[in-house]
Amino acid sequence: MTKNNIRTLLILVATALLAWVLPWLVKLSTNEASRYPFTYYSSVKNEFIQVVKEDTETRLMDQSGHEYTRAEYDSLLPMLSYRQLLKDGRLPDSLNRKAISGKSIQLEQFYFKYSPRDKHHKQMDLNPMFESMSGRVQIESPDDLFSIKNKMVFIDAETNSVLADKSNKFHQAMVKRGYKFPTKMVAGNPSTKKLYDEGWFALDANNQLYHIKMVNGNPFVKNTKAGEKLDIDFVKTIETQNRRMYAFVFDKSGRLYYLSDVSYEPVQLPIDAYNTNTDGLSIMANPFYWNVVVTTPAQRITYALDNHTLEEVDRLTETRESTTWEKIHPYVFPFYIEMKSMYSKFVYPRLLGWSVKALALNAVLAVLLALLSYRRKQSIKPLQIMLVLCTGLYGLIALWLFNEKQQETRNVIQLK
Amino acid sequence: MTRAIFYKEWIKLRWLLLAISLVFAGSIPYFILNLTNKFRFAGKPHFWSVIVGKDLNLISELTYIPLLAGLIFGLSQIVPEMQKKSLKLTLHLPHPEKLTILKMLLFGSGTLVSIFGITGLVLYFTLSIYLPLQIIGAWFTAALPWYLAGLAAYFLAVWVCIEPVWKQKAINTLLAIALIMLFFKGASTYSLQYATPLYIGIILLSMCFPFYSVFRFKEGVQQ
Amino acid sequence: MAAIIECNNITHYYGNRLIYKDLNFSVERGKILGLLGKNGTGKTTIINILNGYLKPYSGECRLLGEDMRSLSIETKSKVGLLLEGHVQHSYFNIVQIEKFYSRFFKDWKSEPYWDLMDKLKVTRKQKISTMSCGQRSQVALGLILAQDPELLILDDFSMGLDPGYRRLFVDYLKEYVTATNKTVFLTSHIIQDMEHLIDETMILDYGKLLLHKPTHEILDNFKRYKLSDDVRFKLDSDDVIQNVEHFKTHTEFYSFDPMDKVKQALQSRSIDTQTLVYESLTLEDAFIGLTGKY
Repeated sequence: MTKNNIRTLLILVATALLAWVLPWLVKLSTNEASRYPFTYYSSVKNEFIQVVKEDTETRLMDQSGHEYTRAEYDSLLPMLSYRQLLKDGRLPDSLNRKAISGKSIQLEQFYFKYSPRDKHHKQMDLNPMFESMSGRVQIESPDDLFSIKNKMVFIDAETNSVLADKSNKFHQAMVKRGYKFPTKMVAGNPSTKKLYDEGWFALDANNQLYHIKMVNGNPFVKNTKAGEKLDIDFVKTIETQNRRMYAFVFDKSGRLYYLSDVSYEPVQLPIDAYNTNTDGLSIMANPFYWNVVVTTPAQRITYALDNHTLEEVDRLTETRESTTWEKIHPYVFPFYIEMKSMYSKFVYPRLLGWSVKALALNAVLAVLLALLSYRRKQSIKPLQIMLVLCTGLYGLIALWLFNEKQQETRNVIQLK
Repeated sequence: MTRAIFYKEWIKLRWLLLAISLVFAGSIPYFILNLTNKFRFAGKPHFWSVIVGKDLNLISELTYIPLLAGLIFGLSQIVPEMQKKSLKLTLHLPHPEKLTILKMLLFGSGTLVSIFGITGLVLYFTLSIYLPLQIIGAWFTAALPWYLAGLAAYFLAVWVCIEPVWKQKAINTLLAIALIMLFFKGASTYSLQYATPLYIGIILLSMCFPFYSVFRFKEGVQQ
Repeated sequence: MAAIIECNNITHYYGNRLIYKDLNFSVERGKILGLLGKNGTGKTTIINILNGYLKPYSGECRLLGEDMRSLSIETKSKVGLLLEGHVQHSYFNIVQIEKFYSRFFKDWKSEPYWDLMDKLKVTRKQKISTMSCGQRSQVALGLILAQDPELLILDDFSMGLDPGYRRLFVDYLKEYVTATNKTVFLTSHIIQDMEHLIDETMILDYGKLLLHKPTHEILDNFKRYKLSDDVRFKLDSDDVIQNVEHFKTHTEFYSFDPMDKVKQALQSRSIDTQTLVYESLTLEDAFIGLTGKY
């Protein structure tokens, strides 16, 4: 370990740190939020209506640019604003030849949201198993929690010990139904403030999706067979008033399904290929249409699907304007490092934004370094030039930070 | 001679070691009391589901304690060596210079690791009386970067402290701050679990850094 | 016999400021060499270069025949180093520090250390940080004596010492070195007491080495001359006459040369030498004579 070796290490570490800090500073100074306007499909006008926010002004407009007042907006979107319309006594009795009421709207309505962060995220392997048929309105929290990773185990909170009988009963029931540990993922809603309880959906080691719940204190375990039909990537459960579905299922080839209440049949949504690692999804459903919003890094597509047939009725594609940061970084930085990501809750260094365009600036900086060395009558070091050529500003600043100002001499002091 | 070097560091740092040990040891009954107190108020089953549901970490008050310990320990070890440049005395000892520094660093990091390790294990096993391994495991997964930050802070503090030139000291400090910030980027329990190799790497690198400044000290680099 | 210390063509700068150019000197075994100079002439710089704590711009030094840039452990154990200000690990007490150092040296001799410690009015548990400068100097000296090195390098040992401690230090050192044939390289900016101690004197001025001679030679030959008139004349660079100072009633100057040579030099400038007298000097007077008062 010589002095120069450590200095090289220091320069490399500083380069890496600068590749993290500098872009962060630039992003901070050019901070701009680019948001898509809220969009909803009007079951009256049969087109998308948007809420466009400009600075302090909010404009309610349709696709032809026609602006509406708040009251008009509410009437155009009765499915979204039915509570306001009910209050004003303006909710029509029927729409598109279908009788509607507050109750009927509520029954068909649901909201579902998925973010890549739901997938790239880890939770404790402990969940409550509610009694699904308690006969009570309010779901009651159990005194134990279960762990499902390597085997089914219930742990009692009062004594912090395993409930052997209960664990055994569930574990055996699962094994009997062909469940294979270790569990890959478990989906469910641990909240007691939900409409009803349908227990948990667990993906076993063989990629089979099982439905597991507790009914009258006994295990209910069923292979949904969805795993046989699809190569499951991610599952997220949902409770809806009409109990039409158990969950939304993403498969590995980018298709989206819901798991229907009819023998867990997967029903595909007619949307373009979906990437669970980068795309956000939200679904706002009403008795007429599902507003399916898919936000990819580059664009947003809003689909209007027919509530019954799930066929596509309309779609709206919007591309996002590049931020200042996105416009400048390819020319300034050959790459950059981010520790956090909007697509994942995990923190680790990610090398992003590779750009050949930055080589031009890098080359200028390398020439500058060579000139500077020449003027200071120092020898031009090819490795330093290489570093600046590859890493640009990062490398140049790092070299400056660990620049040895001392006169170059033949004398070197050695540490023993 | 290793014993002699350890003896010197021991005489220099024993009271500080005692103080740090007491803080870490004292944190154990504190965390247990805090936990049992919450149990009494909320009831165990309810509180368990709160911990799981809200991603609650009851040992999160530990977050910056190892960092502080590493920082204070590193400074206390090296500041006396830098007063009137008495590091020269240490380097003049008839013992290989790099080994002398390495042994000093080993004493510092070794005692820190021992304190972190022993009190961490005791805390882990005491908590396991009250909580399932899934919860404690998650808490300690979150706590690992805090302990590692303490170790990195120790080496970085030594590095900054040994550096003979003030301008370079300032640069080193900024670099050290940036490195330490990397350990505290976690938002939820498991968010840092993939960053552990990075942290180990930072610690290994920052273990080398002090030698750079020792070289510079030896050369008599000045402004 | 090889020199214990040998420095060849040492040139050093701090930034653009030249400290010295092509400095050459050597110290032979058994000698006590004193490097004298005013503050800021680079005394400590030489000590640092000698011990490998400073990379000189160019040139090389050899310590006990070994290149100072990579002193071996054996050589280091043969060199006793006293840092400026008698710096020692101040968190130790005198028992602890002896215990610490003794582990590093094969030929550790505790007796001289404890002899010296017994003369100090300190308890064994008193930390060095609470001691006076004089007491600390004795601890540092005791440790070097116990180390029993061949070469002692003492940087400005007289700094901060009151006359008693300074005399104690000088006497103890002189006695020890004479008895054991050690070599000493020391620096000082206080010249008092030094003539009892040092065999050879090196005087450093800004940017150059003024002189390197046996001390007795300086004391025997270097004289202050007086002319009882204010006589003005010019000096050549290689003149026998140095540092002329003019007073209202007389003129003073210094020279290494005997009376007749000085007379010759004056007469060659047609100066009347009838009133010329000389006086012998202490080392301190000589130092001022050589370096000037400023």
